[in-house]
Amino acid sequence: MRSCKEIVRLVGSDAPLSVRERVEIRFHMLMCKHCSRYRKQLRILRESFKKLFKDLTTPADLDQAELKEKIKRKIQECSKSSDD
Amino acid sequence: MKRRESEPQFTTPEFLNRLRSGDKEAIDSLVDAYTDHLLRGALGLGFVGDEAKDLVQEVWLAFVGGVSKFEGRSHVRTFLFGMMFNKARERRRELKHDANHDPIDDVVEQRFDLNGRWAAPPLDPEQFLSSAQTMLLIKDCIDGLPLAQRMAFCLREIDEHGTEDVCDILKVSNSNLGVLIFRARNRLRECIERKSSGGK
Repeated sequence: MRSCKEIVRLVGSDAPLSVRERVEIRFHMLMCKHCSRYRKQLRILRESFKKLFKDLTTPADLDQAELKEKIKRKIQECSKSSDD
Repeated sequence: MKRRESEPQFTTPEFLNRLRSGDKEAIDSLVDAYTDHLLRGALGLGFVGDEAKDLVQEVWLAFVGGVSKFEGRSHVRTFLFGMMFNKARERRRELKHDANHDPIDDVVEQRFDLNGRWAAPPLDPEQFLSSAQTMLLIKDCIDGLPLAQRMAFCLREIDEHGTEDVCDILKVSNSNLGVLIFRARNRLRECIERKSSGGK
């Protein structure tokens, strides 16, 4: 039987799991309230982070078009000056 | 979200040749395709506003500066993200993290007894993150992550990059990536628990 500590490491590090490990984890979760809380916390973490990330990353589209043009200009300036 | 499979036009030998010769059209098409991705990545790494845009611009200029030597062993996008990670680390003046020891490992260790059973079990998820301040709280905690852990966590959880890509971007092995993600999640978990139970 794997300990909680081992189960937590398997669940928390995205390790590729064998079928046997998957079964062990499922079984462990049925019996262990703490580990299933841990897993639930990770799920909440992921979902909240996705939401946060969405909020963080909606700069105006206009701005980005502007940024792209600015970058293209800069690139040209740089390659010109290195040609000289 | 676009995945690398949907951008095969950037992996043909013909395109790579044009790129290496500094063909303006080829470079511009990449700028059009990936600037948004990079900007989102910079924001995810905690760069704000103009700082994020500056970083993205720096990445492009560095990319073009070395493009004649680009071998195309990784997908262009992966390569660009790898450059961004390095530039971000330079800007933050963050030294390469000592991969062997991280204090969070001790914190995790202390959560268990000698038999590997929980000694200090996790909070009830209801108490863990429930309030309207959640977003602020989580943002605060993410800002406390070392850059490599933050990058690993962001790339992984947003799910835009496969494991192989993430390893390539961070230049770590598969098992090291697992360690980074495990540490990031535990740091975040501990931080949120501490904050939501009234601590600092």
